[in-house]
Amino acid sequence: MALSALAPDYMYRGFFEIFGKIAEETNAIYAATILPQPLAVAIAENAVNCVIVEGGHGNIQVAPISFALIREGLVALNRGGAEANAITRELLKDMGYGDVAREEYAVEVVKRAVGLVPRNLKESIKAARENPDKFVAKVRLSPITEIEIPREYAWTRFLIGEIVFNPRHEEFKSYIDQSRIKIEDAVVGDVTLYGEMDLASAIISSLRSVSLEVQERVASNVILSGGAFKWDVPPGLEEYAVNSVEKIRIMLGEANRELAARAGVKMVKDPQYSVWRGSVIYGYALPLSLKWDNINKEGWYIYK
Amino acid sequence: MEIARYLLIRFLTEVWGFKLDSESGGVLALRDGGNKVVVKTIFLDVYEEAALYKEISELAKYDYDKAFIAVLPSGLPLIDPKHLKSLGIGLISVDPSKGLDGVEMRLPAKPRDKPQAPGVDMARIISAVNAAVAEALNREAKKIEEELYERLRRYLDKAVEDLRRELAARPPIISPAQQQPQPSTPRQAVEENEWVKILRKKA
Repeated sequence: MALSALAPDYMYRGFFEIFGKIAEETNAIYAATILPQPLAVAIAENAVNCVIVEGGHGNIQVAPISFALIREGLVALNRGGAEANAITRELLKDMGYGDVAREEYAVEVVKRAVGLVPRNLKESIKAARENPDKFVAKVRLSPITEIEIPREYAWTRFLIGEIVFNPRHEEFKSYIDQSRIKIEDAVVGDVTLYGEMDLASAIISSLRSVSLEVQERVASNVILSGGAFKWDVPPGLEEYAVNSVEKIRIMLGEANRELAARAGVKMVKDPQYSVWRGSVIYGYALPLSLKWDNINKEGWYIYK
Repeated sequence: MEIARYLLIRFLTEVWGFKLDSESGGVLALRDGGNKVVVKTIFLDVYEEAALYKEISELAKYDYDKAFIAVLPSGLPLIDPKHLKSLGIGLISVDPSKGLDGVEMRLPAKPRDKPQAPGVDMARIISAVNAAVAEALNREAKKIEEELYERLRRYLDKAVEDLRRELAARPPIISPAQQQPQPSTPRQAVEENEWVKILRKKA
């Protein structure tokens, strides 16, 4: 089983207890193990030195790995796909689609269909305001319901993607000030999840905790995984919109040109299943003789 | 607008009992018994008089017995009923907020006058000429087809025979697929994973 790298100890205990009950009732479980999700992604990608940036619905984990998860370098952000949904919902309300905005499914569909990650937020918005016809879009939610992004709101498509990567922009301020979207720090156990930290800063901060000896090797392989990084570039908008890999490259370049030149950024082959694949390989390779250790969080919890 | 169109189709098919034949570009083609009925849907947020009359005049190019235009209530004040009457085109208003009750016929359509049959039965003459031309063309086409088939058959037979002789004279070739190593199986791919080696050492 794979848990978030931020999962507190009680969560591990809770799952082992649940497995214990199932083992007792069904006699079908011999042993169980839990590994951190970023490690599962690294295993699936066969990467022993890397930085895994796992973007989920509720949070983003930046985890450096060098033959094992480097827990000191773990940086967590308190935002993810959910914030992209939240801004999409507010934009739909502003456009007059308040009824549609009530349905989470509809908001998710609209986000996926019209959300764009800007190459540069200011310049992309400027282009969309100057030539809105190029950026208007329609989304058919059902045979009788169609959403049309009006010309005057065409530029807001870029806010949907940008909020995942960097919410520190003037354009988001009014939504935050009016409490229409909430981006703030959170504390889980002894880990602080940063609300507004941009992704390039998170990666750099994570790398600072890695020993200098392996820092370059780790930085050379930045791997993005998870649904929060699944963004498409519609044909014809390549000048203004980018995918997640390109966005991270640009952001790293703006923050530290030297690091950006050495960093290799890539997206996992199948973002939805890489954690599963890594978990299966981990379970296959981890020797059964290695008993669960609460400190290292490694090994098999034996039930029989 | 989709709801207005949906209500209109329900009204025409369920209340009036028309049969929907096809729908394209905002034009519904229906059948009322043996009559062809055409309904042009003009559902717009903002109506413009000039655009409305252009749409109405475009109805002339369709083949129909009866024609209607369907508009939202906001378009009604811009339409001159006298003009529609003179053309024999009917008018239907659709108010989506009232559901099926919001679909109302404001002006009935007049059946279109069919052109009178000429004294001479031109259709019979044309069909006889067509039949004669078709027969002659068929005869000629068959001749050409047979000749072409024969030429093609002879050419292909010769080409295949030449190729067979050429191949027989060459040494056997090993395909690139045979030369390359077989792709690794999923099990091999897992065994080659660096992490598998690292984890196994923890025993």
